[in-house]
Amino acid sequence: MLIQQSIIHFIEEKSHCPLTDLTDHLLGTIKSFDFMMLILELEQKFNLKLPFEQALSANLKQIDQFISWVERHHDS
Amino acid sequence: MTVNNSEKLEPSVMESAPLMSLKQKSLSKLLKLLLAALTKLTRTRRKKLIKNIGKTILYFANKTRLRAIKNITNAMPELSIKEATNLAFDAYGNCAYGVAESFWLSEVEPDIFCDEDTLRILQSGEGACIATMHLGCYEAVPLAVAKFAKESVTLSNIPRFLADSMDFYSAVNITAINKNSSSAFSELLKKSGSNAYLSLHCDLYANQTDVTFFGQETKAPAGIALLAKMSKKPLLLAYAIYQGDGQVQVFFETLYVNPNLTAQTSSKQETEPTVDQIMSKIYQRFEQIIKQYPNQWYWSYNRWKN
Repeated sequence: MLIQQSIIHFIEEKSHCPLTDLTDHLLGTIKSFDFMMLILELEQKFNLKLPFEQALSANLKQIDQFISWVERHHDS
Repeated sequence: MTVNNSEKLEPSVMESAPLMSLKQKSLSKLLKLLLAALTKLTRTRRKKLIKNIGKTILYFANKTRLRAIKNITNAMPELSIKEATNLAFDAYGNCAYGVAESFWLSEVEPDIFCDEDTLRILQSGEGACIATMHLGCYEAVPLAVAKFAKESVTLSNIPRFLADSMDFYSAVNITAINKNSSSAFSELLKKSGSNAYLSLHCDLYANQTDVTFFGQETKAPAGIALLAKMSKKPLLLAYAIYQGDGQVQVFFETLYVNPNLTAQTSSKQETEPTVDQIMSKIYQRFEQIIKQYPNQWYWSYNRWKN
């Protein structure tokens, strides 16, 4: 839940949009530069190692898919 | 040129292609003719001709000329207007040649300079992120990297219709990702994770990180620092300059090696610099290099637009 909140907060801050639709395309919502910042921020905040090459695969395009992917890495 | 064209099949691109094809074909043919004529000249005569063309263009481009002079006088207030004007023309001519050389990279044989640690990184085959700049021969850095590395990657601004019909990057073993491609970012990320050596020009304006450049606050692209941190690859700085006889020299320096890769700092998490700190260091070094070779940098660009 904390990861989800962090990601949504980051997206809302960068997109200047207070309501995030979790089915939106992540890279359509934030810039690619901010996406890299998000990955680094999550790695630091939650002490994770995210295989960023995977983060752009077809099944991780939506924001909710990205959240689940980060949460899976956190749990494991 | 090896340009990633994975967006080629996107419907929007396919729809616009027939409308553009005639204009693109004409431009492509014209450029090929021009290049064929230029490459018949010796490199020395080519340099003289292109530098003079560049200077003539600047003479007629009032806005660009004034911007270059303004940037030079802001950066080096000790110069008189006459000196700044001469420098603006000289630099513009050199930059015109630096850009043009991208079309015959196979004729460029750079001399390479670096320390032993940097050489080890370049020869390791494990990849690195390289911050470079618009100085001297613009594409000489990825060209020099290609001499060491299995995969030398850079971003290219050259329109796809030209890139498709010409092969000047792949001829020298450089992979150029089209900057305007929708997949450019994901391609860069993939390459950085696959032990490629990425050379990105970082001295132009981008609204990503705050830096001080020649005493003025401005913004800069920070992608190279982010990629280095994400991929845990070493971050190098490299630049290429022309010698008086036209010979290209490429210099590599190590800026930052991820703490996880160095045993002595692995326990000191706090020593890892932030993206802003890395970019600030890169810009300090850029400034020193430009002051050393002021007539080879791209002064006419609207660098301090904020």
